Amino acid sequence: MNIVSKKHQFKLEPKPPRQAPHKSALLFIALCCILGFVAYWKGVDFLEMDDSGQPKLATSREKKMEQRLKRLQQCEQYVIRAKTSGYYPCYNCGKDTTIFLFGGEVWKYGVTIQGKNKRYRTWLEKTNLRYRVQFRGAIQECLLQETLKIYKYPLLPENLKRKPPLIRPPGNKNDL
Amino acid sequence: MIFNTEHMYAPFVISSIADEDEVGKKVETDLLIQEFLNQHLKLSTYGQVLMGIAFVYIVTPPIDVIHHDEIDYRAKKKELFIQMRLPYDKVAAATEAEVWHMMAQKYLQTFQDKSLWKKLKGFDCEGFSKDVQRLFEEQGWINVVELV
Repeated sequence: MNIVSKKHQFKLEPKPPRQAPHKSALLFIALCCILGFVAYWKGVDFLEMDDSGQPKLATSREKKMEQRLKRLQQCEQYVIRAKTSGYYPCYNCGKDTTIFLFGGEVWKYGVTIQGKNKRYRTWLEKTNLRYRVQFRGAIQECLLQETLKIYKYPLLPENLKRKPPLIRPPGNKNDL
Repeated sequence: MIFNTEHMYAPFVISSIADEDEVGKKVETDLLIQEFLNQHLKLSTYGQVLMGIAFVYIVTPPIDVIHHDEIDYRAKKKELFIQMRLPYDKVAAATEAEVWHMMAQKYLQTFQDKSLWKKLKGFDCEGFSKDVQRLFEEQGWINVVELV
């Protein structure tokens, strides 16, 4: 029996007449353009044009930079000492994680432009340590003071009496 | 020894930010006030919203623009952190005993301030400040300080 395949018949349906774009679609596109423009403007709001059309830093950005530069001039180098005799965390004691310090002995030297509270929050109050400022000045000078103190720490009598002495204060994880 | 940095070293912690000089040494009596408060007061008497109060005196020269007065209450951790400045020139000119009185007075005045009471709902600030006042007066550390 012969099988005669029928050709697929396409039905031609009349195309619907083209409609003019809806108003809401136009609104949507306009909104997208505005949002895109705002996003672009927000992304480069750190730049402004001067009178001659040359790019310059935005006033807010320049102010921020000046504040930062000012803060770098108002740095302090501090020492953290044990408030009372007892055990304190140690990062330079080999396998031991704590060290016995007598009241007043150095735990750490540091530098900050933020101040004690922003640097440590309540951690010093939780570990019974006391913050003392040793030097104030520009950040380079503070870093210099800190470096000298950390490197010379092994020579302090309180450290020399230890066996073995520490390479740096118990609270300084590294030299700098 | 395991360090528990979740809580304050003691319920009442008193410390200071100062220069490492003669003026700074004058406020190291903070430790004695701390011991005294921990011996005589129990925080739980005044409510369950605080497990630790840290009070830090700032005694630095006017050149210091980094440290400021601050009151920070953390309800989740049940801790109150207070940082208050003492006038540097007055501390520098005062004797150790006078500085002690200034510290006691500042501590009391801070807790008598009703703006702090609003922050610490659930803590009996009035009862606490009255007890502190009574204790300090018994020790002769303050003259009668008027409620703010």
